Amino acid sequence: MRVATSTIYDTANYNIQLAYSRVVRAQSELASGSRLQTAADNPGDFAQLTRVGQLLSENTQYRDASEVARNRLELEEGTLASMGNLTQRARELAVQLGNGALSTSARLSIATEAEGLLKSMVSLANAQNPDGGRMFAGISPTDAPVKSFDLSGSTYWYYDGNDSPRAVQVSSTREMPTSSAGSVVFFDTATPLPGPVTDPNGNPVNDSVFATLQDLVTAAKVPAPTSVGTQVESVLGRITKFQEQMVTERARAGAYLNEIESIQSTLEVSKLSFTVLKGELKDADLADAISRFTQQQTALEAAQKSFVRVQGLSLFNYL
Amino acid sequence: MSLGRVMETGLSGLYAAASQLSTASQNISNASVEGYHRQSVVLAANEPQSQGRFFLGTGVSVEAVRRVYDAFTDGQLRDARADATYFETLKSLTGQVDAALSSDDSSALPGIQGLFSKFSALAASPTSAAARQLVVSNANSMIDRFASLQERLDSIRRGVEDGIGAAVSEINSLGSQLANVNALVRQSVAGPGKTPASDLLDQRDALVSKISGLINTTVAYASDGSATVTVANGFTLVDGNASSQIAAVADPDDPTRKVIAFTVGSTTTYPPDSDVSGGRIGALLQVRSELLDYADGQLGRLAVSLTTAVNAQNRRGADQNLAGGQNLFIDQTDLGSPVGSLRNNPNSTTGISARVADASQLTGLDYQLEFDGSAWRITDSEGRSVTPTITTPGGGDPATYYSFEGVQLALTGTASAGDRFTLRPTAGKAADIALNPAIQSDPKKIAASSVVTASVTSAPVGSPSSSISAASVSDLSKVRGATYDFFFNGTDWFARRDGKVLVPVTGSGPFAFEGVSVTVGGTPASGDRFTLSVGVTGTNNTSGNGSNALALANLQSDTKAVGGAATFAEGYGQLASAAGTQAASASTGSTAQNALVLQLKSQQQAISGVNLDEEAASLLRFQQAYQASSKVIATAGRLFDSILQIN
Repeated sequence: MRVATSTIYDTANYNIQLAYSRVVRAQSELASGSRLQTAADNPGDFAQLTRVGQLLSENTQYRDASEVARNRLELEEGTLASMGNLTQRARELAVQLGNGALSTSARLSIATEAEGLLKSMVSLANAQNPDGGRMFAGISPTDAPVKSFDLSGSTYWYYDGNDSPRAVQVSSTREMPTSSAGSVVFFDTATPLPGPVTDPNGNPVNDSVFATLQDLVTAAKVPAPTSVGTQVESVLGRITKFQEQMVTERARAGAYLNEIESIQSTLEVSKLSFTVLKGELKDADLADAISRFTQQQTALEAAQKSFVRVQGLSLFNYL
Repeated sequence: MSLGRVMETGLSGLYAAASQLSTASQNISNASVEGYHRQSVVLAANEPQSQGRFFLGTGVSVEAVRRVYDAFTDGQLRDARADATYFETLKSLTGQVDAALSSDDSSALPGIQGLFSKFSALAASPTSAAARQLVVSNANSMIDRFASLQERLDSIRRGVEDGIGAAVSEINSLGSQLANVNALVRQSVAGPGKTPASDLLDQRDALVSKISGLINTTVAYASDGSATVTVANGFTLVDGNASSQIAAVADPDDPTRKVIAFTVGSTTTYPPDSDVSGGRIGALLQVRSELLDYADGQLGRLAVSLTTAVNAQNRRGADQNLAGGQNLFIDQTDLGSPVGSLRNNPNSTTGISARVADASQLTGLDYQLEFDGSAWRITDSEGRSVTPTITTPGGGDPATYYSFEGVQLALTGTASAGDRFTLRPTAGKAADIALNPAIQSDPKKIAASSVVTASVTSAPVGSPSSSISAASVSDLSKVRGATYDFFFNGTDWFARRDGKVLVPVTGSGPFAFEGVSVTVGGTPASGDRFTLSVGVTGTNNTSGNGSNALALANLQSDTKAVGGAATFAEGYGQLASAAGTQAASASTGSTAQNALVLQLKSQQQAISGVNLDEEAASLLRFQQAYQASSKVIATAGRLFDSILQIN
């Protein structure tokens, strides 16, 4: 067959361009580590990649949210543990006071310590989360959920938070309470304090761990010879009640923490499978890319060398 | 018989060999010229002379210098090259769109996912100022991504519009050059038995080939060697010495874009895109209508669906100050007015404005509206006929409402048969997303908390004959803070939200719309009108709840959010993979076409191309022929000498 001289150049040019573009493609896969650089590389896989990306994004959101929930619950658990210690100490003080054979100064020192315990309890009950919310205020954003007011020489403690716990969506199906309402932990809503007393919100004032400690302080301040046996007995009973309430809430927080543990491991497993799927869709197969790169590099060199040889063949060389 | 004849015969051979040498050197020097066809000398023995009982030859003469040419192969190569230009342009443009939509740096997807993940974080910590600020900053980066993506598409579109203009001037210039070459070709054959100059024919064919690389072209050759070129399925661009011009003008049906037009006599024709199919212009028009219009519409639809859904949800919640939520983004439900055709009857007084009725039902397609004399016919850009729901509320409202596929058109005025409008409901909307300035400056106004109460108040407008006996919230999850114009047209009750969109009213007393229930007392008369205000508020102590932020975050998994069939991420994925499909097929087409061009060019060159080795051999051959003829002349000369020496 007759071959025009230009065809030698055209063919060589075409083949070298083609080989070059393949080398570049393999090189860019190697350099970027991705074989799905734009949708055109595989439109079907790209649509799937979009869905997997969305699932991964939601997975991350749930893991972040479960981390928030875990932090809050751990903090609440720790706070309730400290409060347990404080109430335990209050119980010991009450038992001491009940002994009766105490000097006035000993009683006063009990009163001082009990006042300290009360202040610590109030401050823990009003503790903040790292994000600024109050741990025991429910969904209320207010400053402090446990407040006091004075009326005819007595101090009263009331709850100014919300009864609904703050919930966090930790998986597509689980909305988890991450706080306990102070009204449930520290107050006894079934027992209003005697007397027609209402708080600034107009609600009756209920018995609380704070009122109990307040009563302990009051009893300790009574001068020495007077017997305070009945008050101490009442205080001890109420401390037991509130300790039980706090232990229940602490156990609940612990149960939620366990649940989070299992939710997080489920999230990790699905994250892993989404990541693997994403990798299958997007990541370059390095072994394959390297072998293609080498192969195509060889093809390019062959095209270049053969062209140099062929274009050197000319009858004019012999004229 | 004479010695003089021997000399003449030798001389004719010398001339012939010189012509052959000259042609071989022409071939050698043009070996690399694109479009050159190798030439060969056609020799013929001269007419013999009678010598009585026999004839003696009188040498050789050059019959013609012809180019070696096969019309079929050349035609195939020309068509294949035109297709290669078409695919090359298509590949380049679709590749740009694909890269913009799908590369991680410019894709809108990370922006969308970023915003929703911050809604989710806000749901966990609704009172955190940092979480609120992060929603705002992520909304802004999503907006930036949408806007720069739209800017990229716009710049590709400007390139397309410019490309159409440039190609048209190129076609016109090539057309007039071809007319000149045609004239020269005609001249070259003027006279009996003359063959046209090969190099002129090469020029002619190169020009035809260039034109066919720009636009679909048919060519016919006259016997005088001139080419007649018809483009765009029926317009004669070049006929012999005469050339006409095509133009790139504003589309009368949509003056924002260029179309091809040509004028014959006083009639201007605008061939449809389907008639302008080949070459570079064919590719430009195809990219514009099938990819850019599609991508603009789809990206805009995603923007409108997203902002409208987020706005509606934010208005169902309560902000940190316990006030009812407002729009998080600037409202995008106003779709503007469709573009009227310049050919519409100037006496028509049609006014059309378009709104979003249901953002999740938008198709992202464009629509043609045409008045048939009694009603408007609507066709979408995929050629489907759309059946709207037509409502005429009356009661002081002059408009007729056409509702279809998430769009609501308000039509006023009178139209004439044949009037046309082009509606691109969501095109360009991606560039318009903006955060509500109130939210931007005060992130506390993000309605993260669920509404605890909502109330409806009603007030009569004027003195209606009926009254509102009860108005209440029937579905707290659907209600949003808004003001409704509630009116009776003599037959039905209508509700218009915020002076804008008509919302469907269901029931026959009590009437219900958007979570509100209304009972009408008395006998209503046409024109009865009430203003209903729906107020939503949180209550004290509840703004620590993140329920509405959670509802905002959960919009990301709403599988009916886009076109009633996809999530936002899926909607974007569909757009990117549709563009990717076009880019992939253009790229495959281009590679295949280039291979075909190479193959056809090899075939064509096998016939018409110069082979330098062959020419080198020819040089030797013709040199020897030249030398042989010289020898004949020398021999005749010596014979003369010997005769002259006889004495």
